Amino acid sequence: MALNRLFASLAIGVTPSVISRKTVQVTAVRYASMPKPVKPKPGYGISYRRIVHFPEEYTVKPLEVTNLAGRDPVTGRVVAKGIGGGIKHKYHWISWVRDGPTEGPPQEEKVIQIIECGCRTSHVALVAVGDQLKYILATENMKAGDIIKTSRHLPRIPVRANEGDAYVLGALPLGTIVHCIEKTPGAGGLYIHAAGTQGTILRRQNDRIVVQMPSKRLFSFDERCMAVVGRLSNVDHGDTPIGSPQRNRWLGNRPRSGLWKRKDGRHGRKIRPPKPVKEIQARTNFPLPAVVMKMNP
Amino acid sequence: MKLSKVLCRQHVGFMFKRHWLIQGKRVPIDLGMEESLKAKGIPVEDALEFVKEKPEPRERLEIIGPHEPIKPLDENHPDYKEKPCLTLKNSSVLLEGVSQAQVLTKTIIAEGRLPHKIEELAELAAPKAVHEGVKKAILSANVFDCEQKKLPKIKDSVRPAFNFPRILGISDRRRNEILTNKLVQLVEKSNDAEVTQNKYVVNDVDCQSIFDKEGDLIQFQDVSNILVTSNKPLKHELNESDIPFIKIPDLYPVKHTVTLPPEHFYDDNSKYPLRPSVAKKHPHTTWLHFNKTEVGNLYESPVTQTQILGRSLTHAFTVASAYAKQIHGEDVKDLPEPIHINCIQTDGQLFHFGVFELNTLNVDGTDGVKNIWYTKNNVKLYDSSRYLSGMPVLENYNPKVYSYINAFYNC
Repeated sequence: MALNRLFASLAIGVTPSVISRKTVQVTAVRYASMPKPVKPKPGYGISYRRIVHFPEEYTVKPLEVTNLAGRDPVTGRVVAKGIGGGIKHKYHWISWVRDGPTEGPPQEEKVIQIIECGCRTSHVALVAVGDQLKYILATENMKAGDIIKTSRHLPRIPVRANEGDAYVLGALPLGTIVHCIEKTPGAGGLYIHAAGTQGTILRRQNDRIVVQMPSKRLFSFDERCMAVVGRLSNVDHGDTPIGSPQRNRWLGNRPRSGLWKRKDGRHGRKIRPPKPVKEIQARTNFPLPAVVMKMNP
Repeated sequence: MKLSKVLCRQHVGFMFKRHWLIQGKRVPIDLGMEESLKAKGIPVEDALEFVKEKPEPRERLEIIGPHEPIKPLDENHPDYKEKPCLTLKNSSVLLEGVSQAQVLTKTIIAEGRLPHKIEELAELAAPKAVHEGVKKAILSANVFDCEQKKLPKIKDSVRPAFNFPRILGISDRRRNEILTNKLVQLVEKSNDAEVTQNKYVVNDVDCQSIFDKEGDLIQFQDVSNILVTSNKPLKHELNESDIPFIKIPDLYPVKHTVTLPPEHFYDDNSKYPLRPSVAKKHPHTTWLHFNKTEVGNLYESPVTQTQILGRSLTHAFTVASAYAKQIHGEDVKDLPEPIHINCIQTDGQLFHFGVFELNTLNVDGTDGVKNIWYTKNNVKLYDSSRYLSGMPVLENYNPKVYSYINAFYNC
């Protein structure tokens, strides 16, 4: 008797369920109104190669990374084909904003060491100023012990700049080779980061400076944007063949798709007229926020 | 008609679900036990009445004992101070090495020379048996010790993706401990009892010195791996005038506080490891180990030669100034008479000898009374000590190192 009662409470109650028409309708409506899953897309400045775990404050301690192998970290879907494997490198956090005084003599900084960073192509320089340490991108001939200058002062006469010095574009003479150019004043260097690349200051248009980019396109910048003088380090990077398929795997690249055809045009090169000068400035016309439509009120 | 597709594959989860649907309904067999018990007059009770409920969660008690709970590192911590203290620890190094150490401690350097007395004592030849003992000490530290720890990963820059097998062996900490302790023991053994009885040898003692430099509060926290103390203060005759001293350099554009991280939790007082009541408390020689796996830069680059040498100077300054502050009080500036201390730093192979003269604790600026540092660096004890084709081998033993250690002990 007692055992009977004990087992009765353990048994699973199986009630015959009949799927009514109403249930089917409700289910259909629920599925139809469900928003479509947001598929991650390649591009938009996201590389899907690695996540760098940045701390709150700037540090020169090499940072830990999580390699993504082309996958979106939220959904786990493969977004970028051809990424995966490779040697794990620690990330050297570059201090992009080279801030100097707006008046008076430029700030002087000392190069401590040139470091080869596995996460980017150009080399990285460890720089000390005051009681601070920071990383910047190393230029072609930069070496330990060099003194480099930084200033945001916009003088009447162009300055005589040395390699590695950071000045506003308006302060540099025409024909100067520059890299690490800011998009807007104070935003931090954004353009021209890759190994051995350089831009050239071509001409001045009122208060804007036209710079030829490594792609030979002409970009027009605000004259108060900072730029670093000189060509970026690791010049041989572009001429160095990867060497073997295995070394390409060490770099974190998977075998290519095989679709590239140079001659027949599809997936190949196209001949088009050169593009006009692009004006680089802060964005003002932001689009309105999207309206999300729902089936149920 | 079957609406869903026929599942041809076996699925262990589905199998268990279906199995439970069938096997979940079980009918117990009536064995007639209840009736037979009742017939014998034994009362039968419901088992469910004895199934206990879950015990109530008990209240957590704060037990007061010898161990105090660890206080969180926030503003209510007893050691918290508003003003940050720039800290140099045993495991970190100065960015600019010797030059920065010179500025921080306001020291001029006599490079490549030691006081006359030590050089004279070092000329005395030790008996052959002692050198045999030193050779045995080197081999026992590098070859014969049975420690098997994972050594650091080997990296080949030509083949960066190659994973070498991990080697087990003697760690650098252990190697330095064995070598230096055996050397000190040999020195004590070969000296008279009168000399050794006036000295203490203590291992791994903490020293802390806190001082003010140009408005910044700076502290050095250091560990003496071996501290030899004596019953009377060490004295050197350092009144030679014709020495080309290295002046205190200008670090511009770098400030002298670079790579000293600010800390808000610190003790206001300097700390010398021995109490003032101890008779043999005067510091004589301090030994410092350079363990490659433990000392490093924040930016994870290998420690440079000048950074290692700078470590010797800051270490000698820490011990000497902590001792000076114990004698003369925390606020002492120019000392009535200088304090001397010997310092030996080693990584197991290279020895860096130094004699420090502490004249002042007023380290502001570069003018006025300065401290003096005599050094003789990079004296190699041996070239290699390892197994070579199955035989323990010691190559190019340098007897000069023992002479210096002995001279340091005897001066």
